[in-house]
Amino acid sequence: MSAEEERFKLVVVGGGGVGKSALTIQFIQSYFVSDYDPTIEDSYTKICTVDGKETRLDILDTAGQEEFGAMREQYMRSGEGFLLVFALNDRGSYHEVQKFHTQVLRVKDRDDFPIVLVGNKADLEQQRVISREDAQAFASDNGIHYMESSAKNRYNVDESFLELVKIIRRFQEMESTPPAAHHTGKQKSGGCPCVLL
Amino acid sequence: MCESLDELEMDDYWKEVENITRSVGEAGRGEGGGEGEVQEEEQHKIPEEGEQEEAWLAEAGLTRLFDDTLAADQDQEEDSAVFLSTLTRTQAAAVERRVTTVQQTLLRRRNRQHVPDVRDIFRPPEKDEEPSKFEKGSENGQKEVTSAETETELNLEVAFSEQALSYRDNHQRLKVTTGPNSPDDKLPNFKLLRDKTGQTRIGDLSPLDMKKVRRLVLVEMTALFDTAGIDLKAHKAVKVKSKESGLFGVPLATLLDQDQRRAPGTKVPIIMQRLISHIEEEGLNTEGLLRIPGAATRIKSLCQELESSFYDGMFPWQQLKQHDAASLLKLFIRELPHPLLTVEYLSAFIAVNKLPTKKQQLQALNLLVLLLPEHNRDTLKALVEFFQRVIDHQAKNKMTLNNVSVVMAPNIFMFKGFRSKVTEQQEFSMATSTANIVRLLIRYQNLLWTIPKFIVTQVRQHNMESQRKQNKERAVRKLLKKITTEKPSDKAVPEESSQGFIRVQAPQFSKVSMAVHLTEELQAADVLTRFLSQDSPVAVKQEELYLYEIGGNIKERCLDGETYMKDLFHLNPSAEWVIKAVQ
Repeated sequence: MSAEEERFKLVVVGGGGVGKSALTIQFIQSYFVSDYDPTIEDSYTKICTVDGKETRLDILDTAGQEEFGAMREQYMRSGEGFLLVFALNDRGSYHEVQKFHTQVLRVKDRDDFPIVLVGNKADLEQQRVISREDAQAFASDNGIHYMESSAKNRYNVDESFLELVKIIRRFQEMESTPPAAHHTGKQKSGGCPCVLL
Repeated sequence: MCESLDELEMDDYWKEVENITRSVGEAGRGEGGGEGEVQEEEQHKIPEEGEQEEAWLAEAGLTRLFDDTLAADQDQEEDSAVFLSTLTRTQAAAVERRVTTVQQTLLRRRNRQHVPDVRDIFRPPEKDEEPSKFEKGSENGQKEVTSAETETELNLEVAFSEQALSYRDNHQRLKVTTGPNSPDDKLPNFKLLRDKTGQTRIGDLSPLDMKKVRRLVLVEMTALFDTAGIDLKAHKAVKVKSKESGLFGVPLATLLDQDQRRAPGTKVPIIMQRLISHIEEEGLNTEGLLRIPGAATRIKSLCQELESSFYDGMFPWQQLKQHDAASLLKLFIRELPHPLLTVEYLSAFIAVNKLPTKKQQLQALNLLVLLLPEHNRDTLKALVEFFQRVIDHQAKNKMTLNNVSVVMAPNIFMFKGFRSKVTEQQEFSMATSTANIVRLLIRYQNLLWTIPKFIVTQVRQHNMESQRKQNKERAVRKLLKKITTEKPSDKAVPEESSQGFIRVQAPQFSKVSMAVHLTEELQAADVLTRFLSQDSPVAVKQEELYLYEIGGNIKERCLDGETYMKDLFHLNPSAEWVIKAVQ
């Protein structure tokens, strides 16, 4: 593996049965899993090209069930970007995802972090209980991106993951810019991202 | 046809011997019989008193026990100590007996003072109050053997030698006399006591652990024979002059080397595979297959023709008659410069007959198969598999298990020149006993090519013990360096076990890992199914994928599909679980 390779750890979180695995498998293997087998913790790897640059994604599909909550802290610590998934037809899952949001920021000890809020099951429009406006308002208040998706119809699936990759890149670029460099303005980081001390 | 192996049926054996003798006379190979005999003489040199035991200890990797010049080598010393700590009482007694002999010889020979005392090696058992897991197992086993008649039940968890010992003790106490060779020659259907942690076939373990298996098996086999008071005369293999290339009369290793250059991964000589497949292509229904010899005059020229044109692919197979092919196959086995069952163990294979029960015979054969070098083991397996396919057609070809065994026994046991060393009387008793061994090898091939659980358990103990010692050292070094790094993996193990799941990894898949809930029923095959239902690997065939147990107290073990994961997890809690293609 070359040292140049870009590699990100993405974590898919959210309540039970909102479609985390369906989204992940649709993204990785391009098909919709209809079986309802609760995940404990699965991980995937995929190489994709975002904005012309190749990236290896390690994607962690997590348990929605509360029983496995003990594992949360650990994956939250290692994750570099999070997909917070709820189901548009499930109010409980929407509240839960807000708790996940708080927890990520607490574990990371930051005010903001690369996160995309995903309202899944957009195909079940008749059963929708969370309006786009409400979700969008929550996202905007917290400075995160919001998307609606359907794992079943493969709608906004790749887009959600790729959007997260772009956000992580921007975030990490900001991070690698040394605070001391403030007075020289934003560095055009075309060269080496290393910080020479 | 009657299943008993009486003397009448041995007629075929003598006919086969006659055929062999004639083929030597007529088709006698270039080198001539005289030289062959001289070579044999060397091969069968019986070592001096003490020498045999020395060689045995060296093979078991226990040289240190009698040679104190090696004691300075700390690693080897520790390894010996770890190895000894895993032995059962009967196994340890077998080692002790040989150490004593060697020491007496050494003392007599050199009158040396600094030979380690046997009492220093085998201290009186201190930790009797706290028996190890294994000893507990053997006690259970003893009860089992005592309480119920388990002659056809195979217990693989208790060392065979321990079982044999309690069998012997019971029979002595109860004054039951059993003839050494009971007239009942019906071969029972042995029932395996179900092992929830899965069967370990030969090839499932890594070469590193297989080395330990070999050492343990050597000790165990000797211990088993010791319980019956059978002294195995080990023959030393002396290098003999043999052909460096060709097909007939070439050492198995040379032949396979040559074949592997043509077809990498070849485990059974191509010429033998080709002869077998030719016989099968001609149809297995032919009456008297393997029994009816080909024409001795033709065999000689066919043999030369094969030597010159086999590898060019120019040999006219379509003209080869089935019985001639069978004769060539038998000739190939006989002409091996070293017997297929090896010089070292040939007599041990024959001695199996002296064990008092069919079960013990089977157990001894199991150990002997494990002791064979890989080439010999694989080639022998291909043969017994073929014999079974012949037997499967017995309704048509009339070749029953007994018929095939009787006809093949002289070919397998009377390799080049061996007969000249055997008296007529010896040969007579050898006829029945060798046929019996071939019979057992064919009949129980599925049981024989596996590693008994107690051996795997002892390997696990060995690994745990050496790890414990290493960790101790490392801990001291760590303390000195005062490194305090928090390792997340240290926490993962207890967490996962308390959560009741295992993490299965599959590096070559796009789904690289999956946490699987551990239920009582979950088997290795289920884990594979779960994984494969969601992922389709591009370059791998599904039949070639297996779940492996890696690390913890085993280097690597390919899992039998029926392994119960929860039971195995308890046996090796820090193992990793990896799906990969079989090597």
